Amino acid sequence: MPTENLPLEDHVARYVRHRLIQFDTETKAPVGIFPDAFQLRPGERDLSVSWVEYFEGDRKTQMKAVAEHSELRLGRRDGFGVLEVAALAGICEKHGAKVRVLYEPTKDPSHSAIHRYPRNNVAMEAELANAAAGDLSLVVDIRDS
Amino acid sequence: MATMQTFDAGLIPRPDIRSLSSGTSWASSLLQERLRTILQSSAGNIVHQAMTSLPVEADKMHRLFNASAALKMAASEVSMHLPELWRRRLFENIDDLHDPDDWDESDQLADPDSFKTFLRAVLHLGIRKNMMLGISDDGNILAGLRRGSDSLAFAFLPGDRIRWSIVEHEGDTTNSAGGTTSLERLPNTLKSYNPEAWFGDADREPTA
Repeated sequence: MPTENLPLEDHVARYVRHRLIQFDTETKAPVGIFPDAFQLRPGERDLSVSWVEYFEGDRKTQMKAVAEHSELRLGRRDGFGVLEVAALAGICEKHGAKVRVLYEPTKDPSHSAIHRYPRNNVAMEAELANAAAGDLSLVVDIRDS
Repeated sequence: MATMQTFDAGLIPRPDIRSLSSGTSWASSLLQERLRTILQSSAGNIVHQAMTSLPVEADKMHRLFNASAALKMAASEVSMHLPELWRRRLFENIDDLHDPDDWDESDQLADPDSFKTFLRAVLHLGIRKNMMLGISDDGNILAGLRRGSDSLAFAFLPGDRIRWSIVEHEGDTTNSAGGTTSLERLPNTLKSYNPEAWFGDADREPTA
């Protein structure tokens, strides 16, 4: 299959476990994402994301499809943080990483991967998490929408 | 009442930790003793036992309950130095993090050594602002603070090591920084990032 770069104006959703989501201590609303959500795990070479625009429809419909097609076991208070591909690449480049966001379907037809993603770049991970927190949805809300 | 002194950045009052080794006041001695208990005595051991000695077949709810209880017991050892509301929210946060409905078998329970670093950081730095807690994939306690769209995050590593990161917005510019440092050096590290704004309500004196 030929390499397919995701369009810069499209968006990717990064799955975030509930324990990596910052919930407001009073309202319990999700307000942030810990930088650790954007770290490569041991053995991982690329950062996995879902290509939001792979699915048709409005954003709610697309996010519902992202959750439905995920190969992961999603908890109700897990979430997805969404980033524009250009913004993501820009943040990575600012921190010295020229990443490539490639479409690499698995059983999840929207699965994509961020290649050349560096390890141990705390500031970059923090900036990505901060940006993705601006468009963060919990699984329970996505399913109920 | 514990002696207060200025935070290393010159902005934030905190308990007089430096005097602990010399034991110059009864409050300092008490705090020193409490800190020692985290490292050496029952609560720390209980945390270890609850998290490392449970049989593999113990069900998820049982393990999560024990893990949550162990963290609370460790925190209780120093609870007199923490404001009531802060402590209550800490406990709520611990419960939320250990909700069986949200927990996957592959999730790592909190590392007790990381929790010790967290408690020592809270006491040492005088952090009283409500922090949002998390647990990393390798079991480290995470704490996050937000001010509008800006964020400050810590990962508390075993052995008084702390990974920190900050993201601040200035007009259209986003500034970010991060690194790993020791608990002792963290105040100095954060000097450039307006710590008063982040720990602004840290001026309540310990209740001891």
